[in-house]
Amino acid sequence: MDEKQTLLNALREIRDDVDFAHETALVEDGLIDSLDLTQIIAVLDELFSAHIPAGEIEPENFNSVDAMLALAHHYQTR
Amino acid sequence: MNVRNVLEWLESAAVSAPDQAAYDAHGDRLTWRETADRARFVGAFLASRIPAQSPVLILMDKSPACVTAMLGAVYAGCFYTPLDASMPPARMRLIREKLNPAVILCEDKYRQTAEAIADGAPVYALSDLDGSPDPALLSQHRKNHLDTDLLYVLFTSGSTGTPKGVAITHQNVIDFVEWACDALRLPVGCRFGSQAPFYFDNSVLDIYCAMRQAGSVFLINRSLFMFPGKLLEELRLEKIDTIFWVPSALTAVASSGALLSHSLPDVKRVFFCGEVMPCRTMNLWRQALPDADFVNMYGPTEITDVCAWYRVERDFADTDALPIGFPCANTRIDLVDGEICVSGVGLSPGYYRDPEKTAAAFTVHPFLPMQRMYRTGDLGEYNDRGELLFLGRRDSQIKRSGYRIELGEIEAALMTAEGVLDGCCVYDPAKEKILCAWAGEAEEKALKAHLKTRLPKYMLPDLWMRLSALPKTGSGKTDRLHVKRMYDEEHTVL
Repeated sequence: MDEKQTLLNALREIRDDVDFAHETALVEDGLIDSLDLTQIIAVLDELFSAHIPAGEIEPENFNSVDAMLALAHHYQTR
Repeated sequence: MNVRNVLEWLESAAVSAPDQAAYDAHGDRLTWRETADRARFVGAFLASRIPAQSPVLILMDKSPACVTAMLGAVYAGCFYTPLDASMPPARMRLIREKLNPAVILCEDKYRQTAEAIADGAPVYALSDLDGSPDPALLSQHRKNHLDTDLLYVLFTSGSTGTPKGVAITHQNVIDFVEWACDALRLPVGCRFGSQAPFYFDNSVLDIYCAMRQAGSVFLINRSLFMFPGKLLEELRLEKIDTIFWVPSALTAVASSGALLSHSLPDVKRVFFCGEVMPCRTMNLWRQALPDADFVNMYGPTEITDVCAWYRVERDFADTDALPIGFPCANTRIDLVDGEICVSGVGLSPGYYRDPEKTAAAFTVHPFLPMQRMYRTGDLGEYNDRGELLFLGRRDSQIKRSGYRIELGEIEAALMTAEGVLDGCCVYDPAKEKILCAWAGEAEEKALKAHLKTRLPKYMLPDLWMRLSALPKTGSGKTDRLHVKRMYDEEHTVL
C-alpha cells in the first residue's frame, strides 16, 4: 500500500464523514476542527516519524492529503 | 441620548462614520452606511410580508451579510434567531418547532438545509430579496416600537436535551451595552476581533458595543483559532485593539507559545467570559501585553451576556482563582443557598413559548416581593475582599460516598499542574467515578501526585485520559459531554 493510501486510511479513522481523498480546502472550508487537527498531527508523527514543530503548524499544510504528505516528508526524521 | 431601539445606534454610526468599516471578514467588508442601507432593505422586504414581533430564523455563516439579515429583522419590528448551520438536523428541527419562525433567511448554500426544516415557513436567500424599501412602513414600525419588544432569541442546551430559547429585549441589550461601553472604557472607533459565533451571546457585546461606539468588528474565521501564530498575525495586520473571547481560545493561544514570538502592539483590551479563566493563561497574556486592560466577566444568556465583572488590577499566582468580581450596574446578585441569583434590568422576560421552564428559573425574589430573580444554577461565594468567586455549576456538584464534591474545584487544581495545557473533569454517576482528561506533556503519575498535594483523597479522580487536545463546542468552550463519550468509546469492550 502506498504512503498516500496509508495516510488516507488513517484519516478516515479520524473522520469518516470527510472526503479526504478529494477535498482541497479542509481547513478553509471548516471541514476539520482543532481536535481533528491534533489527531492528524499525531498520525503524521506515528506513520512517518514526522515531528512537526508547533510553530510550523500552518493552515495551508492541512488543506489536502497531498499537503499533509508533503509536510510529513519535510519533517521526516530517519 | 435616551435609546429605545438598538437601530438608533446603527443610524447614528451611519451618520458619524458612514464610510468606515462596520463588520468585515477576510476581504468581505461593509461600512456603517452600507450596513444600515442593507438592513433597511431586508427590513422592508420582511415588513411587507410578516407582522411586527414575528420570529425570523437565520441560517447563515458568520459574515457581514448575516449582520444585515439580523438587523433587517429588527427594522421589520421582528426578532432574530441565528442558527448554527453545522448542528445536527434533529436539533435544528427542535429549535424550529419551538421558535415557529414566520420566515427563514439563509444564504444560497444553506437553501436545502433551510427548506428541510422549514415545515411551511417561507425560505428566502438574501439574494432573492427584491423591491425597494417603503419608508412609510418602516417608520410606522418604529413608531409602534416598545423597548420591551424582543430583539433576539438565543437557544441554549437545556440539561434535559430540549433547547431553551432565551428571549432578550431591546431594553435588555441597551442597558447592557451602555454599561459595557462605560465600564470597559471602550473608545469611539474601537476595533473588535470577534471569536464568538452569532448564536452564542458573547457576540452581543462585539456586535452592539462596536455599533454604539461607531467602531468595527473583524469577524475572525473560525479555522484560524487552530493556528495561533497565524491568528496573532491576523490580529496585528487587522489592527485589532479589543478582544472578547472564551478562555478556551485564550488558553490555546497561550499554550502554543505563539505570544512569545508575535507582538500585538494594538491590542489594548482583553476581555473574557463563558468559562472559568485559568490564572496561568491570564498571566501569560498579561506578560505579553503588560499595558492592556484585562477584564473577567460572568453571566448566563438569561441575564443578557454579563451580570458580574472583575477588572484585573493586582497580580494573581497561576494557582489562584480569578474572581468574577462585582455586579454590573443595574444588577443585583444574591447568593441563595450558595446559588448565584440575579435581579435587574438585564433579566430576560423568559424562555420563548415555554412558561413552565420560565416559571422554574425566573422566580420572585425572596426578600423583594416585587422583584424578579433568575436562578443561574451556578454556585458562588465571596472571598475576604468581598469579591464574588464562581465555584461551578450546581449540577456539576456531585455527591460521592457521602461527600459533596465540586468538579470545578478539581479542574482548578488540574489546571495548575506542570505540563497541563488544558483539562476538565466529568462525573459518571452510573459508575460513581470521576474522569480526569487533560492535554499536555504531563504524565498520569505526576498528575496524580500533584492533585494529591492539593485535594483531599475523596476528591481525587479515578479515571485518567490524556488527549492531544480537548474537544470544543461551536462556541469554543470545552465540550465535556464529548470528553465523556471519548472515554466511553475508548473503553468499550467489543
